[in-house]
Amino acid sequence: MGRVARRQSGTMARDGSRSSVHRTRRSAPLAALLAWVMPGLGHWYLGERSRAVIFFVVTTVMFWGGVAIGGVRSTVTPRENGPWIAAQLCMGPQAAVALVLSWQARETSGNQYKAPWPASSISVVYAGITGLLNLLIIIDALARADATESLRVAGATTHRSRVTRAPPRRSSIG
Amino acid sequence: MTFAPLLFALFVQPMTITGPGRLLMLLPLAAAVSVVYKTIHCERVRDIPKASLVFCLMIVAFMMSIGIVLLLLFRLMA
Repeated sequence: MGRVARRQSGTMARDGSRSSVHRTRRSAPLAALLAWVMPGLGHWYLGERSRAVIFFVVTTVMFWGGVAIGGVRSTVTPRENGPWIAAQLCMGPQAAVALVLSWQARETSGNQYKAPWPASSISVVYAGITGLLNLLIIIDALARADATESLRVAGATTHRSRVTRAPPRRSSIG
Repeated sequence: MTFAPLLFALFVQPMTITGPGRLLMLLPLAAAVSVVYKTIHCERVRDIPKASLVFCLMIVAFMMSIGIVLLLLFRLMA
């Protein structure tokens, strides 16, 4: 199905306005996984491309901005920052890259590039909050995929009931 | 290889943040939270900038008022 045809088959949003959500089948778990792999990719997959770009730009800039404030050695460190690492890992592979860089920095330079307070705390909070924001984005991708699927199923059911309840044709004979 | 020193300076060397300017670090965080929150909530994409700005200002205003109240309490109890 071409892009134009898919656009024309767009569904109505929850408030009845036209939306770019497609009526084609979209997998909710896949949307969530894509949103974790790259922030915004789940929304891109669902057809919400403007939102996807906003999510990607905001979360990526904030995460790496946080890393730049405190340095990778102080920002993504599971031993020193405790539960914050769980929030940071919601950023997916970007957090994994930062974690590997942090290990490398510790192996090569020890505590040489450890950030002083308050830069260390600010960077950890930036990266952690950004991870939690991406968790919110993942949940939104799940909800939108489910809503699209519900609309698709409801549309199919309505169409079927219209077909079955259609009044019998009057014969023109007699 | 050309980018290596730049990346090192950006992501390995920490910044030095001192003085009251560190309170300004709240602004990008509040902006990011408000943009993501309003991008999720707004049905129309064109509504996002205005809604985000209003929400960001609300976050900053409420946090400042909470900070002022806590400062006053601290001064009274000292």
